[in-house]
Amino acid sequence: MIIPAILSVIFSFGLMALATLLLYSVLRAGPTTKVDTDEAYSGIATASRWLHRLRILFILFCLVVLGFHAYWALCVDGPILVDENYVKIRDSRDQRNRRIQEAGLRGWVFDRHDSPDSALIHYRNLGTKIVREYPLGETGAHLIGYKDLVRGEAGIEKAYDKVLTSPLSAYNALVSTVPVGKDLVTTIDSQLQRSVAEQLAGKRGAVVVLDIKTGGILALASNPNFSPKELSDEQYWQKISTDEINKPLVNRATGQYYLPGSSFKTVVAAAALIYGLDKEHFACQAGGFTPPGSEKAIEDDQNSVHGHIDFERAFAVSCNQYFAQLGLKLGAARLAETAKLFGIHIDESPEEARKTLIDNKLWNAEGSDLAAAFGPNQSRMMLNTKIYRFDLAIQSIGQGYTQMTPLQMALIAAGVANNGQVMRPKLELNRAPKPLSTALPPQVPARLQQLMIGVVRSGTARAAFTGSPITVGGKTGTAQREVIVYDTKTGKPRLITDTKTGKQYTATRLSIDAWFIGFAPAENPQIAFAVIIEDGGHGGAVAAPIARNTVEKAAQLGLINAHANNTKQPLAN
Amino acid sequence: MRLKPSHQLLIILTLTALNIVGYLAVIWAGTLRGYLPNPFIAVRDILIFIPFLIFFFWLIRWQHYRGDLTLLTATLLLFSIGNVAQFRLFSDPEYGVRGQQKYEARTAKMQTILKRNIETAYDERKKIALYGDAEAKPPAPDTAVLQRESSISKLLTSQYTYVPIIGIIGMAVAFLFLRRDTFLSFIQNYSLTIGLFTFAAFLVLVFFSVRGKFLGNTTPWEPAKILFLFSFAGILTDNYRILSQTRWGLPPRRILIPFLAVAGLPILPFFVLSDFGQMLVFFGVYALLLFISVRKVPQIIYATLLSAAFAPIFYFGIGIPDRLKLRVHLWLNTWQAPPAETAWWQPFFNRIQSEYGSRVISNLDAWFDQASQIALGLFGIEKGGLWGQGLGLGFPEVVPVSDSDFIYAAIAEELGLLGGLVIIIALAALIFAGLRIAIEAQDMFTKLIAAGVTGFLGLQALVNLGGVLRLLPMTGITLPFVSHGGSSLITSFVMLGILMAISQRNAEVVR
Repeated sequence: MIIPAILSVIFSFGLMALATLLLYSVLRAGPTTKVDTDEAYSGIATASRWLHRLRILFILFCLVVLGFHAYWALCVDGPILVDENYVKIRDSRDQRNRRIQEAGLRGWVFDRHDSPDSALIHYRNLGTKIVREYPLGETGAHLIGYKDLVRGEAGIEKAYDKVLTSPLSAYNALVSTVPVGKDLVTTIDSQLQRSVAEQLAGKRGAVVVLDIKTGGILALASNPNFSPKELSDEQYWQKISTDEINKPLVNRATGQYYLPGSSFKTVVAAAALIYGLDKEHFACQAGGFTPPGSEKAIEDDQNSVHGHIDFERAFAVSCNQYFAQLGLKLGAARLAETAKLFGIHIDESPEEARKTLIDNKLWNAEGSDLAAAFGPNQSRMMLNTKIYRFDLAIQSIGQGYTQMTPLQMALIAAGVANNGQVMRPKLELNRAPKPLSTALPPQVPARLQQLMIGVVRSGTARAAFTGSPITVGGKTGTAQREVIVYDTKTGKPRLITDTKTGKQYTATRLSIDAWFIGFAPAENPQIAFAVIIEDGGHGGAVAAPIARNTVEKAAQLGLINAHANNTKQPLAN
Repeated sequence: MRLKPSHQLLIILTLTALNIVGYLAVIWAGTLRGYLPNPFIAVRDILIFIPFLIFFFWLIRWQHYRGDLTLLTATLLLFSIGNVAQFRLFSDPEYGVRGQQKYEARTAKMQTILKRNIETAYDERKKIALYGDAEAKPPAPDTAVLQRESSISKLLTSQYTYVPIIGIIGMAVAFLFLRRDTFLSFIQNYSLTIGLFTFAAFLVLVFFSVRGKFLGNTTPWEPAKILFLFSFAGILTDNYRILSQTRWGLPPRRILIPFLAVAGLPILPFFVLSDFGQMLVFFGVYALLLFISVRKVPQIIYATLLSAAFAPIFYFGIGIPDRLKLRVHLWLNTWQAPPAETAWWQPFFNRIQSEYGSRVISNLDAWFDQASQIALGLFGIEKGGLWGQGLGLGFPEVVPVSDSDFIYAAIAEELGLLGGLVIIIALAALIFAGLRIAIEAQDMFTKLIAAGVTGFLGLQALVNLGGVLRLLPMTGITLPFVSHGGSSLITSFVMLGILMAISQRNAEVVR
């Protein structure tokens, strides 16, 4: 492209020289012919004077035209003023955009093996056409995202758009009117991603798998998903973008709030260990525990009665009454301090808790593009000094105002596993790890890890992990979340009419969400994960088996090494 | 510094050489996108210089021309830069086609760029992943889709060959007639008859035309500009002394009313054609001639006040046709669609919707259907920036009909502000030379004709550039010598011949 460009430059500069010469010669031509003074009465001379003035007028017009040209060519989109309306229409309607997009080569995106064979985004030769493709297809839909002039952009395609379109080299930028973008190597393992997504098939839920040492995301899947190949199909797009029941475009791993249920007891237990309340015994009786000043009782799953139990046992069997009382004993302030260590936002009032929040500082990344693409929703609790005891107790067992994303829950597990240090999540492989917050005191994570190993060895997740070659530490959760009931025929929320007042309400029901968060391998933690299945039922029965399969797949892929010692860490980079 | 004929010849030859560079750039850039611009057309365009050179020598040797030659050189510069831009646009397989054909051409072009980038920028492992072999070449572009069919015979009979030739002949004929006293006194004596005759003939043409175009896509009334100018200049020359006996800037009533009636002759047919651009140009030129011959400052004030009084009428759209309202909105609010319920906009919306058939379009879609030409042109100008994208390397083919009214946008996209400056400077040289001829003219009649011709060329250029750059509403006027409307190009060349004839007369008087 450089040769025609040089020829054009010669062409325009040459013409410029000629035009200037011509104008100069006209301006400097000899004196105008003298007009006979006899003729002055007929006004010829004054008419000529008027014509002289016309030249100034014409120059003025030319300068205005040039000024307008300069405005459109140089100033309409910065550096001083930006015409918003113009930019909006240009970005959405300029047909050149489509051409540049079709002709431009965006960068490839590789998984952690940095090989074209396992690329997450690549170009493929179809014979007559070369097209950009997403080899993971539906299994990577939310993570990889898409980029389309009509549908917009999402996922990695959106988050790393700047990288993928920034010129490969200075030479390339000079010679090509369309970009040849830089490649990106991510922390994702494409095979693990595929396996995780396949396990979610037919369910509604999400899985996040993290490398605890670096915060690198190994897999991030959400279901129901969509097929990026079919996005250009108008009917398909209509179907998925208006499906309120399944919301296939929502990335549940980061963009959806869930109640964490019992899996949140990990955070409460961490607080108890930090503030030395791990020797408490609380009663866990029939009829539940009623916080003072409240009329509602907090009960255990299937009304089980665990009796007068200690901290370890309560964590293993996930005793709600114990943790409700422990939470009250800890108090709002101490619980809030601990929650902040894991990156959880504390709302001061119920009003504040209702606002939508995006955590745009979580990621270990340049700028805020990653936050624009993935969020995540800011995980949060509502704690203040005047809080009702019931609200405090119920949040201590992961209900009430507690709102978490699967990514946040994976970060909690990762923090515990990484000796109390939560690393900021990241997607670029060659990026230095960055801690999220100050580490927990040294004894706390070790005790917590033992507690979580206990859950798998003898507690609520024992059944799921029987016979697994890899020991795992984890915590189950079974959360009750109020959801809107949709009419399966119309796809709209179902309305209930109050027979007395005639008012209409949106019908709701309780979704029993199954959680399992944890880390593996138990003796030398390397990965952490969070699994949630909406409407799944009991966490130990539904989410834990998926976690087990994921861990075993990760081991098979060499992502964890059960016998690894500290000198040999396959994940470190 | 008056350039000698030999200097002018040197400039014309340099211009030819630069044009060859320009054509090479377009051809080269085309091959980068998978199509070969027809080299025969390039050769044809270069050969067009030969008739111009013949005309040049005819003037110097046979006609003993002593007048201003910069006129011709500046015109040639404008004409040739226009030729290069036309060549670039019409060789593009995507230009001027629609639907599936456009889509296929676009895809094939973009794929060619993409494959070329793979070849030059990708490392071995990615090439292997794509082609299975690092040495493998990508499949060749689909030439069947990309090549525009053309044959020599078609080339020779195309209007791009014969229109400039007719233009040159017209220029020579105009030169021969206008330098004669007998012809000049003839048109001066019969000026009113010429005006009325032109008016009548024009009305007949207008009667047979549809949507501002006559039979096919032509505008045969372009030469009327010259005839109306002759007529008006003659009438003014006869009457300017009486017209200048004014009270409060107004001439006596007995002469004012018939004069205004004659001056208003061209307005009616152009109004029927709703060619508001030409109306504007005529109004401007007539006012210009009146000011020059009568020279009354109050009249300028009246004209300014009158124009100012029209501004709110246009702005608020009181009592003006819907089409004009659309133009004004396109000009002032290009980026915002009028609300769907706006009364004047609804007929347009419905017509556009019916063109799209069953596909339901939004208000903004319909609006952009109307605004696309000006908007896409401006987007291109922004892309062009200071230096331009390079000939053949931008995307001016997306602007509808950019070879005619929007040629300036196409040039600005590929040659940048620099290319725009070339055009404006060349225009300024042409206009200044024209004004100088008017200044030097020894009698009022030729002075007015020279000033009028210059005024036509200059105003047309300003109105066209203003329309493209959103300084004025878009009016559909061509850029003289650069755009290639058939009859308007011929008319412009004839005007140039008139200017040269008057220049020759001035030179003869001085000797």
